Amino acid sequence: MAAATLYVYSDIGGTANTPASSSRIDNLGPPALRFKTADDRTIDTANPILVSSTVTRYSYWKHIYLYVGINASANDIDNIRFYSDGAIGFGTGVTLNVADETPTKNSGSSAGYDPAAGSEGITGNVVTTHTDVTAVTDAASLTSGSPLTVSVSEDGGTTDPMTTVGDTSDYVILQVAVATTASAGLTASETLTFQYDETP
Amino acid sequence: MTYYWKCQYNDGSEISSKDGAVYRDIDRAKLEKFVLLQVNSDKPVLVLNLGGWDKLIVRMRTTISLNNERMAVWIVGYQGPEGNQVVCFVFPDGTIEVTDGFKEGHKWFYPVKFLPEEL
Repeated sequence: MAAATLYVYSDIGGTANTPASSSRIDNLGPPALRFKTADDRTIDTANPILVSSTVTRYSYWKHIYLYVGINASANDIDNIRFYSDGAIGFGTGVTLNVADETPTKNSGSSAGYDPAAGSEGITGNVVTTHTDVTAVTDAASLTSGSPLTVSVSEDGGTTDPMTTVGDTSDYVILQVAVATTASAGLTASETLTFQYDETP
Repeated sequence: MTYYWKCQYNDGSEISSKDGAVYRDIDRAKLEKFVLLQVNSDKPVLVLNLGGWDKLIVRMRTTISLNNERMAVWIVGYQGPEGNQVVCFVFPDGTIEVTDGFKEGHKWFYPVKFLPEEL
Protein backbone atom coordinates (compact mmCIF):
# COMPACT_ATOMS: atom_id res chain seq x y z
CA MET A 1 0.00 0.00 0.00
CA ALA A 2 1.29 3.41 -0.83
CA ALA A 3 -0.11 6.81 -0.12
CA ALA A 4 -0.31 9.14 -3.07
CA THR A 5 2.12 12.02 -3.34
CA LEU A 6 0.69 15.35 -4.34
CA TYR A 7 2.59 18.46 -5.36
CA VAL A 8 1.64 22.12 -5.59
CA TYR A 9 1.85 23.40 -9.16
CA SER A 10 1.44 26.77 -10.80
CA ASP A 11 0.56 27.78 -14.35
CA ILE A 12 2.05 30.86 -16.01
CA GLY A 13 2.24 32.58 -19.38
CA GLY A 14 0.35 31.68 -22.51
CA THR A 15 -3.15 32.78 -23.39
CA ALA A 16 -6.66 32.31 -22.04
CA ASN A 17 -7.33 28.60 -21.34
CA THR A 18 -3.80 27.72 -22.49
CA PRO A 19 -0.96 28.35 -20.04
CA ALA A 20 2.52 28.33 -21.51
CA SER A 21 4.01 26.43 -18.61
CA SER A 22 2.89 24.19 -15.74
CA SER A 23 5.43 23.37 -13.06
CA ARG A 24 5.88 22.29 -9.48
CA ILE A 25 6.50 25.05 -6.92
CA ASP A 26 6.45 23.40 -3.48
CA ASN A 27 10.11 22.44 -3.95
CA LEU A 28 11.26 25.97 -4.83
CA GLY A 29 11.41 27.48 -1.38
CA PRO A 30 10.97 28.47 1.19
CA PRO A 31 9.43 30.68 0.09
CA ALA A 32 7.80 28.73 -2.74
CA LEU A 33 5.93 31.69 -4.13
CA ARG A 34 6.92 35.32 -4.59
CA PHE A 35 4.25 37.89 -5.32
CA LYS A 36 5.60 40.37 -7.85
CA THR A 37 4.64 42.38 -10.90
CA ALA A 38 5.74 39.79 -13.43
CA ASP A 39 4.30 36.45 -14.51
CA ASP A 40 7.04 34.02 -13.50
CA ARG A 41 7.97 31.56 -10.74
CA THR A 42 11.39 32.96 -9.97
CA ILE A 43 12.03 33.51 -6.26
CA ASP A 44 13.78 36.88 -6.34
CA THR A 45 13.17 40.54 -5.55
CA ALA A 46 12.85 41.66 -9.16
CA ASN A 47 9.64 43.42 -10.25
CA PRO A 48 8.36 44.46 -6.81
CA ILE A 49 4.88 45.88 -6.29
CA LEU A 50 5.46 49.63 -6.05
CA VAL A 51 3.65 51.47 -3.25
CA SER A 52 1.61 54.35 -4.60
CA SER A 53 0.54 57.42 -2.64
CA THR A 54 -2.75 57.57 -4.54
CA VAL A 55 -3.99 54.11 -5.63
CA THR A 56 -3.92 50.49 -4.52
CA ARG A 57 -1.51 48.39 -6.52
CA TYR A 58 -1.47 44.65 -7.09
CA SER A 59 0.81 41.76 -7.75
CA TYR A 60 0.24 39.70 -10.88
CA TRP A 61 -2.24 37.00 -9.89
CA LYS A 62 -1.10 33.42 -9.35
CA HIS A 63 -2.82 30.21 -10.46
CA ILE A 64 -1.90 27.33 -8.16
CA TYR A 65 -3.37 23.82 -7.75
CA LEU A 66 -2.72 20.32 -6.44
CA TYR A 67 -1.19 17.84 -8.88
CA VAL A 68 -1.03 14.05 -8.39
CA GLY A 69 2.64 13.13 -8.80
CA ILE A 70 2.54 9.53 -7.53
CA ASN A 71 -0.48 7.31 -6.92
CA ALA A 72 0.52 3.68 -7.30
CA SER A 73 -2.67 2.37 -5.72
CA ALA A 74 -5.01 4.70 -7.64
CA ASN A 75 -6.38 6.03 -4.36
CA ASP A 76 -9.30 8.46 -4.57
CA ILE A 77 -8.37 12.02 -3.54
CA ASP A 78 -11.03 14.64 -2.84
CA ASN A 79 -12.43 16.99 -0.18
CA ILE A 80 -9.74 19.60 -0.87
CA ARG A 81 -9.39 22.72 1.25
CA PHE A 82 -7.07 25.71 1.23
CA TYR A 83 -6.30 28.02 4.13
CA SER A 84 -3.81 30.29 5.87
CA ASP A 85 -2.79 30.41 9.52
CA GLY A 86 -5.26 33.25 10.00
CA ALA A 87 -2.68 35.91 10.63
CA ILE A 88 -1.15 37.28 7.45
CA GLY A 89 1.81 39.30 8.65
CA PHE A 90 2.52 41.32 5.55
CA GLY A 91 2.12 44.56 7.46
CA THR A 92 -0.20 47.54 7.30
CA GLY A 93 -1.92 48.02 3.95
CA VAL A 94 -0.79 44.72 2.42
CA THR A 95 -3.50 42.09 1.87
CA LEU A 96 -3.37 38.62 0.38
CA ASN A 97 -6.58 38.04 -1.55
CA VAL A 98 -7.89 34.63 -2.58
CA ALA A 99 -10.47 34.32 -5.35
CA ASP A 100 -13.81 32.95 -4.13
CA GLU A 101 -14.10 30.90 -7.31
CA THR A 102 -11.89 27.91 -8.12
CA PRO A 103 -11.94 27.89 -11.94
CA THR A 104 -11.61 24.71 -13.96
CA LYS A 105 -8.26 22.96 -14.17
CA ASN A 106 -7.86 19.26 -14.83
CA SER A 107 -5.62 16.82 -16.65
CA GLY A 108 -7.28 17.64 -19.95
CA SER A 109 -8.23 21.29 -19.67
CA SER A 110 -7.16 24.66 -18.32
CA ALA A 111 -10.52 26.27 -19.08
CA GLY A 112 -10.30 28.43 -15.97
CA TYR A 113 -6.95 29.92 -16.88
CA ASP A 114 -6.58 33.62 -17.64
CA PRO A 115 -2.98 34.82 -17.85
CA ALA A 116 -1.80 37.41 -15.37
CA ALA A 117 -1.19 40.85 -16.83
CA GLY A 118 -0.53 44.43 -15.88
CA SER A 119 2.34 46.90 -16.00
CA GLU A 120 5.46 44.92 -15.27
CA GLY A 121 7.47 46.41 -12.45
CA ILE A 122 4.58 48.61 -11.28
CA THR A 123 1.26 46.81 -10.77
CA GLY A 124 -0.81 43.88 -11.91
CA ASN A 125 -4.43 44.04 -12.99
CA VAL A 126 -6.89 43.53 -10.13
CA VAL A 127 -7.90 39.86 -9.94
CA THR A 128 -11.61 40.58 -10.33
CA THR A 129 -10.80 41.29 -13.99
CA HIS A 130 -9.86 37.60 -14.35
CA THR A 131 -12.51 36.06 -16.61
CA ASP A 132 -13.58 33.54 -13.95
CA VAL A 133 -13.29 35.61 -10.78
CA THR A 134 -15.98 37.88 -9.39
CA ALA A 135 -14.99 38.26 -5.73
CA VAL A 136 -12.13 37.68 -3.33
CA THR A 137 -11.63 36.89 0.34
CA ASP A 138 -8.80 38.09 2.55
CA ALA A 139 -6.60 35.03 3.15
CA ALA A 140 -6.47 35.94 6.84
CA SER A 141 -10.10 34.87 7.16
CA LEU A 142 -9.52 31.56 5.39
CA THR A 143 -8.47 29.38 8.30
CA SER A 144 -8.45 25.63 8.93
CA GLY A 145 -11.88 25.99 10.52
CA SER A 146 -13.22 28.18 7.71
CA PRO A 147 -11.27 27.28 4.59
CA LEU A 148 -11.74 27.75 0.87
CA THR A 149 -13.31 24.64 -0.66
CA VAL A 150 -11.34 23.63 -3.75
CA SER A 151 -13.31 21.78 -6.41
CA VAL A 152 -12.12 18.93 -8.64
CA SER A 153 -13.19 18.75 -12.28
CA GLU A 154 -11.52 15.56 -13.45
CA ASP A 155 -13.56 13.45 -15.89
CA GLY A 156 -15.77 16.42 -16.64
CA GLY A 157 -17.51 16.37 -13.29
CA THR A 158 -17.40 18.66 -10.34
CA THR A 159 -17.18 16.02 -7.66
CA ASP A 160 -14.97 13.38 -9.27
CA PRO A 161 -11.93 12.48 -7.20
CA MET A 162 -8.38 12.73 -8.43
CA THR A 163 -7.10 9.18 -9.01
CA THR A 164 -4.27 9.01 -11.51
CA VAL A 165 -0.93 10.70 -12.04
CA GLY A 166 -1.47 14.03 -13.74
CA ASP A 167 -4.91 14.61 -12.25
CA THR A 168 -5.31 18.02 -10.64
CA SER A 169 -7.55 20.12 -8.48
CA ASP A 170 -9.15 23.23 -9.91
CA TYR A 171 -7.28 26.52 -9.62
CA VAL A 172 -6.75 28.54 -6.46
CA ILE A 173 -6.06 32.13 -7.52
CA LEU A 174 -4.04 34.48 -5.32
CA GLN A 175 -3.09 38.14 -5.47
CA VAL A 176 -1.43 40.63 -3.11
CA ALA A 177 -2.97 44.11 -2.86
CA VAL A 178 -0.79 46.99 -1.64
CA ALA A 179 -2.70 50.00 -0.36
CA THR A 180 -1.38 53.54 -0.08
CA THR A 181 -0.84 53.00 3.65
CA ALA A 182 1.76 50.28 3.08
CA SER A 183 5.43 50.74 3.84
CA ALA A 184 8.14 49.95 1.34
CA GLY A 185 10.35 46.88 1.82
CA LEU A 186 10.21 43.09 1.96
CA THR A 187 7.36 41.48 3.88
CA ALA A 188 7.50 38.45 6.14
CA SER A 189 6.85 35.01 4.68
CA GLU A 190 3.50 33.33 5.23
CA THR A 191 2.34 29.72 5.28
CA LEU A 192 -0.49 28.59 3.00
CA THR A 193 -1.82 25.06 3.17
CA PHE A 194 -3.79 22.59 1.08
CA GLN A 195 -5.61 19.76 2.85
CA TYR A 196 -7.21 16.71 1.22
CA ASP A 197 -8.66 13.28 1.91
CA GLU A 198 -7.42 10.05 0.37
CA THR A 199 -8.84 6.54 0.47
CA PRO A 200 -6.00 4.32 1.70
CA MET B 1 4.86 7.29 12.44
CA THR B 2 3.30 5.70 9.37
CA TYR B 3 0.56 3.11 9.29
CA TYR B 4 -1.05 0.41 7.19
CA TRP B 5 -4.32 -1.47 7.63
CA LYS B 6 -5.57 -5.01 7.83
CA CYS B 7 -9.14 -6.32 7.58
CA GLN B 8 -10.23 -9.51 9.30
CA TYR B 9 -13.28 -11.28 7.90
CA ASN B 10 -15.85 -13.49 9.60
CA ASP B 11 -14.61 -16.51 7.65
CA GLY B 12 -11.13 -16.23 9.17
CA SER B 13 -9.46 -14.73 6.11
CA GLU B 14 -7.89 -11.26 5.96
CA ILE B 15 -6.51 -8.71 3.56
CA SER B 16 -3.91 -6.01 4.17
CA SER B 17 -2.82 -2.83 2.48
CA LYS B 18 0.73 -3.99 3.15
CA ASP B 19 0.08 -6.75 0.61
CA GLY B 20 -1.27 -4.32 -1.94
CA ALA B 21 -4.96 -4.30 -1.05
CA VAL B 22 -6.74 -0.95 -1.40
CA TYR B 23 -9.82 0.44 0.27
CA ARG B 24 -12.09 -0.55 -2.61
CA ASP B 25 -11.02 -4.19 -2.15
CA ILE B 26 -12.61 -4.51 1.29
CA ASP B 27 -15.49 -6.99 1.31
CA ARG B 28 -17.86 -5.18 3.63
CA ALA B 29 -20.35 -8.06 3.72
CA LYS B 30 -18.02 -10.18 5.80
CA LEU B 31 -15.91 -7.51 7.48
CA GLU B 32 -15.52 -8.16 11.20
CA LYS B 33 -12.51 -6.15 12.30
CA PHE B 34 -10.43 -3.27 10.93
CA VAL B 35 -6.91 -2.91 12.33
CA LEU B 36 -4.47 -0.02 11.88
CA LEU B 37 -0.85 -1.02 12.41
CA GLN B 38 2.55 0.66 12.51
CA VAL B 39 4.56 0.04 9.36
CA ASN B 40 7.89 -0.40 11.13
CA SER B 41 6.81 -2.73 13.95
CA ASP B 42 3.55 -4.28 12.70
CA LYS B 43 2.19 -3.27 16.10
CA PRO B 44 -1.55 -2.50 16.10
CA VAL B 45 -2.43 1.00 17.21
CA LEU B 46 -6.18 0.79 16.67
CA VAL B 47 -8.62 -2.09 16.40
CA LEU B 48 -12.18 -1.40 15.28
CA ASN B 49 -14.70 -4.18 15.87
CA LEU B 50 -17.65 -3.79 13.56
CA GLY B 51 -21.20 -4.97 14.00
CA GLY B 52 -22.99 -6.41 11.01
CA TRP B 53 -24.70 -3.14 10.09
CA ASP B 54 -21.82 -0.77 10.76
CA LYS B 55 -20.39 0.99 7.70
CA LEU B 56 -16.61 1.37 7.82
CA ILE B 57 -15.14 4.80 7.02
CA VAL B 58 -11.38 5.22 6.50
CA ARG B 59 -9.34 8.08 5.07
CA MET B 60 -5.91 9.64 5.23
CA ARG B 61 -6.35 13.38 5.73
CA THR B 62 -3.17 15.12 4.55
CA THR B 63 -1.90 18.67 4.69
CA ILE B 64 0.72 20.02 2.32
CA SER B 65 2.01 23.54 2.74
CA LEU B 66 3.40 25.51 -0.15
CA ASN B 67 6.78 24.86 1.43
CA ASN B 68 6.27 21.11 1.06
CA GLU B 69 5.70 20.40 4.75
CA ARG B 70 3.38 17.42 5.02
CA MET B 71 1.32 15.79 7.77
CA ALA B 72 -1.19 12.94 7.57
CA VAL B 73 -3.93 12.02 10.04
CA TRP B 74 -5.71 8.69 9.70
CA ILE B 75 -9.48 8.69 10.06
CA VAL B 76 -10.95 5.35 11.11
CA GLY B 77 -14.57 5.01 12.11
CA TYR B 78 -18.00 3.71 11.30
CA GLN B 79 -21.56 4.78 10.77
CA GLY B 80 -24.18 2.64 12.47
CA PRO B 81 -27.63 1.72 11.18
CA GLU B 82 -29.25 4.68 12.96
CA GLY B 83 -26.75 7.12 11.44
CA ASN B 84 -24.72 7.26 14.64
CA GLN B 85 -20.99 7.65 14.10
CA VAL B 86 -17.82 6.82 15.99
CA VAL B 87 -14.69 8.33 14.46
CA CYS B 88 -11.07 7.95 15.56
CA PHE B 89 -8.39 10.39 14.41
CA VAL B 90 -4.90 8.91 14.59
CA PHE B 91 -2.18 11.55 14.60
CA PRO B 92 1.43 11.08 13.48
CA ASP B 93 2.72 11.07 17.07
CA GLY B 94 0.40 8.18 17.94
CA THR B 95 -2.24 10.24 19.72
CA ILE B 96 -5.78 9.03 19.04
CA GLU B 97 -8.77 11.30 19.45
CA VAL B 98 -12.25 9.76 19.35
CA THR B 99 -15.41 11.68 18.51
CA ASP B 100 -19.11 10.84 18.24
CA GLY B 101 -19.15 11.98 14.62
CA PHE B 102 -17.60 14.44 12.22
CA LYS B 103 -17.54 18.08 13.31
CA GLU B 104 -17.91 20.99 10.90
CA GLY B 105 -15.52 23.86 11.48
CA HIS B 106 -12.72 21.78 12.99
CA LYS B 107 -9.30 21.53 11.38
CA TRP B 108 -9.27 17.71 11.46
CA PHE B 109 -12.76 16.51 12.46
CA TYR B 110 -14.79 17.88 9.53
CA PRO B 111 -16.78 15.38 7.41
CA VAL B 112 -15.37 13.23 4.66
CA LYS B 113 -17.11 12.95 1.31
CA PHE B 114 -18.90 9.66 1.83
CA LEU B 115 -18.65 6.89 -0.72
CA PRO B 116 -21.88 5.04 -1.58
CA GLU B 117 -20.78 1.96 0.36
CA GLU B 118 -20.24 4.08 3.47
CA LEU B 119 -23.83 5.30 3.65
